[in-house]
Amino acid sequence: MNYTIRPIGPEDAEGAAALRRMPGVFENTLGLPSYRTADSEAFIAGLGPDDHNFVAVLDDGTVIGCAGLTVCSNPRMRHVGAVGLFVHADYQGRGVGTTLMETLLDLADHWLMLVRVELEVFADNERAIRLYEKLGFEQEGLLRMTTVRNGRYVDEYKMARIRPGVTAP
Amino acid sequence: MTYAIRPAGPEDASGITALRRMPGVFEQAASLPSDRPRRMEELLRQPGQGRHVLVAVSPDNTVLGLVMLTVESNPRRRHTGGLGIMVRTDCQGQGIGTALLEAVLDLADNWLMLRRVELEVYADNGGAIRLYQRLGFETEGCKREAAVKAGAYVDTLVMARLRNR
Repeated sequence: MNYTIRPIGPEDAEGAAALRRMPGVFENTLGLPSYRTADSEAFIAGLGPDDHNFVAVLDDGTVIGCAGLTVCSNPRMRHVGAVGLFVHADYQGRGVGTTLMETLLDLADHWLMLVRVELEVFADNERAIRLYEKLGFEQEGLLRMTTVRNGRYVDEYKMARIRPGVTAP
Repeated sequence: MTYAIRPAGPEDASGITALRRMPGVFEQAASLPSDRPRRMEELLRQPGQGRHVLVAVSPDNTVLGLVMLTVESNPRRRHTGGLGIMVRTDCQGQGIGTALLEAVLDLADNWLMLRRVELEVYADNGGAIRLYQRLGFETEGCKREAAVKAGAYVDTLVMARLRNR
């Protein structure tokens, strides 16, 4: 399976929207089956200087994964970035998520010099939790009833990774 | 001390900014001594449907305290709101914070039917933590090195209050 990782562009709007609403993807992210290509276009067009978003695409242009890092805009939190990721249902478990996350973390560590990268993940999403732990994220707390999923309010873990080598003064 | 609680308007922008900049306040909030009224004015002019801002004011309209509740915009999180509060340094310990929180929690519970209200607080802000606990907030976790305070990266606690779990 040959795929490339590159920054998201307007040409990816339809592919990214298809992913965002895909069964097997939308439930465990913040997507909905009603997500439109127009929503995706607006999202891509609205990305600003603090947003760093990538897609994984097959040779034929099919989007098989999306990942983004957003640097916190609050002046007292400029050392913090939030990340999010989703992978096409047919391409999960094959390293695409790992590669996308490594791309984001390389940016965070070596070019943005962030101290802290954080994310939220559903508490029962074991596969995702293992991926994040492998990349150095630690659980910081259980946020209760944060999000609707399949007719219930479900819990999420807050996880974060402090940049290796950073020591608090 | 007599005060009234009412919705904030653009005319409160300077008073709120003065509060945000105040020594004894800004350190424990997410604001700076360099904050300008313009941003606050724009926010108060166009808060959007999800943002609810209340101020406690003295009879001469000095802003003594402020509370903001922001309902999450993502459709799958519309039952959740985020909270922030600040009270003038020289007016703390007099129940103004409690009164502002009770007003905004009444809104959350009885008119917006939120199920979850969440906030962040510096881990060393014992007074604020106890106030939130009295109002039903529980600590869910600790975000390490989450903010800058006095030249160091410091931890913040995530606290939340749930309704009808």
